[in-house]
Amino acid sequence: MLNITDDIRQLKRLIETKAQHPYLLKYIQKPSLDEDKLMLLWGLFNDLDVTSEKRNQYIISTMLVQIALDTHEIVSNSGEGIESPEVLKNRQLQVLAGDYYSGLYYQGLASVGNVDMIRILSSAIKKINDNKIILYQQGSIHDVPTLLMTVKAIEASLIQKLADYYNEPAWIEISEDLLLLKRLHAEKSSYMKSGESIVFDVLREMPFDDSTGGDVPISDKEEQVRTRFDKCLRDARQSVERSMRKLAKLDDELLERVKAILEQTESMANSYVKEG
Amino acid sequence: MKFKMMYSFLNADLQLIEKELEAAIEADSTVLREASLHLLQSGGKRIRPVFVLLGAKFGNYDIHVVKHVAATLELIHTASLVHDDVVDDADLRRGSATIKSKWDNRVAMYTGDFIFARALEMMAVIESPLAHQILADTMVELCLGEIEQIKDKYNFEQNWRIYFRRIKRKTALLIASSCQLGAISAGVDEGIHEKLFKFGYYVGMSYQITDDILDFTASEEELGKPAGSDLIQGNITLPVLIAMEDPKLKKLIETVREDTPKDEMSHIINAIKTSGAIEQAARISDMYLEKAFTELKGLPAIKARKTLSDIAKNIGKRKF
Repeated sequence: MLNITDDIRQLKRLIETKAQHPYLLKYIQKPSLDEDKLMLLWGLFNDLDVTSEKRNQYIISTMLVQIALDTHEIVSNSGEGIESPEVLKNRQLQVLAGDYYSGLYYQGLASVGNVDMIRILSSAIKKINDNKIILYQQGSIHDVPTLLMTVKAIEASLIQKLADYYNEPAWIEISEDLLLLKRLHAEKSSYMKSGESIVFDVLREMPFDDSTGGDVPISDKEEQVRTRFDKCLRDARQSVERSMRKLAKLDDELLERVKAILEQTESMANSYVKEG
Repeated sequence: MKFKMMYSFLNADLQLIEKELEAAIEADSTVLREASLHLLQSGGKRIRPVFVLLGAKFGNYDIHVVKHVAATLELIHTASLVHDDVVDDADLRRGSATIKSKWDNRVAMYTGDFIFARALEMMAVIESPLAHQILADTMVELCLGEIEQIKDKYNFEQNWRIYFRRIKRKTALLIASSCQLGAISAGVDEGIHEKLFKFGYYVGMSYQITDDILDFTASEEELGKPAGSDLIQGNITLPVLIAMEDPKLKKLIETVREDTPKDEMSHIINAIKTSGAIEQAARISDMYLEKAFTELKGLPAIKARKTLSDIAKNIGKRKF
């Protein structure tokens, strides 16, 4: 009987060992591992008829891709004027580290001749970056469903493509819904902490309900953005509950984790730090 | 003979590869399409696809197979340039604005990752595990070379071995792999594709050493950046390593920092240029070329062999 806790711990150790580069770690932060994505991958492969050796190999490769993408996500934009050598060096190494982790995923799969998996993961990376630019450039998203689809593509394409290859539609749904919900949590936290959130920015760009016929005051507009966002959050929560029911079985620990995320949504929705 | 004339018999196939490249960057995001196209149309020599095609000529040449490998190599090279421009904080490449300057670092990172992914997706058409192992190892080595370059900045105690390993990783391996992967995709024997790898490796080493020489000898206009830029940025290249064998020059060179005044820098560059280091580095570059020609002698005497030889000679003679 497989034990998720031990497996996850072992997988984390294997991934960290693989991604270890002493010089990089001296200057950039240790790559963070998204444990929920790791758990979802574990759940997917646990439902499949693959050997533990292969399962580990696929999960490690997929997580290396995720680490590579996450590492590039924190590459800063150039600041105005002269930047300190430390800032420059950190940025340079962030770029190269991401490329290095990306090379490692390819090297791992190439060493065992798994061309199918190379095709699946590269196709997912393509889709993720295409959608990242769509979200980042904002102008091309005009409605909420498109926004949520874009975020889902960014967060879940790696697992979605794998689950699709193995014809596991229930795992596609739970992964997309849960990872969307998690991202919405992160966006709301960031908005509440610093006022910055790309999802809020996109929502703000969408047409407003202007029943008065005149100019909507900025504070009212922001209220509408928040209302819209919280609706997305609640809808995403319901989607997770629906997709959970479609899975034949869910490991107890994975189930606990999903429940914890759902409870978090409950406390997050409609709560905003009062301004002023 | 002009560079492109040497392989004009490949023109139809190269056009096919151009189409593959354009198809490869199809994306939903208009910015991504624009950014990638901007890059592909900015006038690269397509030297890697040429090496791939020439390598394939030693086997069962099928353009509909080899085109995937050729496009892959060009896409990998292109993606690495996009990320390099973020690393170097460069605003111009080949005279036009870089993606990071036209948009920003974030768009450059996404575009580079997108192109890398497209490269591997295209390569996945090739089923040979060996081909994937070679390409994957090359990509990892390429990154390690770039990381080493940063690690060894302003390290005036580094030895020649470190320099040669760095340029092998940074430049030579991708050219070597281009020649070898073309051959593997055309089903050639191991003995031949290994010779092609060595040929590409030696040519790549010579090419990078020449590049490092030109950083001192070419004009600012030809280089598109001030002479001696590598040294100012702390990149210790072969001419510098040779010059530093003279203790007096070493003392002088060791003072170089990013903020070294222009007139002091000119003095140092001039001292390196008149020390004999440039000529010695050129001899080493030539030695690598000779090794490349020796590898060619062991290959079947087909037209592609003559073209590879012409290209290698051209690389040895280039002035900027």
